Amino acid sequence: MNSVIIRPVKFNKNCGAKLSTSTPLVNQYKNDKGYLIELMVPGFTNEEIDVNLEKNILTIQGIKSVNEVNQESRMIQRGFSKENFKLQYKISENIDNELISASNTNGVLTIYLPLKSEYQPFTKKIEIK
Amino acid sequence: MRNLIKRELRPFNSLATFDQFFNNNAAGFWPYDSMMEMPAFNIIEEKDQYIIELAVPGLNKDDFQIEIKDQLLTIKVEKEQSTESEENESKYIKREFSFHQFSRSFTLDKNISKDDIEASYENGVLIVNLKKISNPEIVKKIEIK
Repeated sequence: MNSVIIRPVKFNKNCGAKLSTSTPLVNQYKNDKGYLIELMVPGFTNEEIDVNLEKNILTIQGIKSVNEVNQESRMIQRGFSKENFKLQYKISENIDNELISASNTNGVLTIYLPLKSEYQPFTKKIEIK
Repeated sequence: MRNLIKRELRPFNSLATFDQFFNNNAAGFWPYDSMMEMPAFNIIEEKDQYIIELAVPGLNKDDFQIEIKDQLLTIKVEKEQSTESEENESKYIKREFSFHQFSRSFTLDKNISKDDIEASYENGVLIVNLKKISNPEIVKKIEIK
């Protein structure tokens, strides 16, 4: 129960290895103060991304406002898609929900989840008999 | 029609291409134990141009070097990993993408005008517009707007 503080609870139906699916790739970092999630969301503007926290479920959604399909264009090769996506994370109790912040820069959505300041990790020394 | 814009033949350097061949079957070993470093791309054909879209989030337009040598269009990024020093005390729990260093090449067909190639970087997608006219030249640098 220690390192798995943030874990995805639900993926899209297309979850898997296909690059053309709508599940963004994720980097996760951890330090003493909290957690940082980076989501790869190329092609999405700030307005097209919605980050929502309800109780302890963090929902990240990308919703394309404009349908970019051009009748005269033809996809020769598809390696990635800018389809809508939805990701959900269960946030553990030691995260300070009030201070969760998000930013989107050049296609990387960064979500910062700070630990509660009063949070003390459970430690117990166990003696070897 | 594949030879209109053809990628340099290095299929196993590229998870994107690899994945397209095997589609769902790759689910067992990707992305959970491997990091994506070679950007995926789309190629779109329009009436008067081709568009290459490269998914490379997290960079600045100055990080890209794009050049044409003979028929080869090369998009290159060589960037020091500055995040390492900034977040010295952070450690990765999970790492699925990083585009600090890669080189991706495309063989251009002769009907693409090398004088008329434009590139832009927007929301983490590098877009290269290749106009369809023949006008061969040897080496040319392309500025990112």
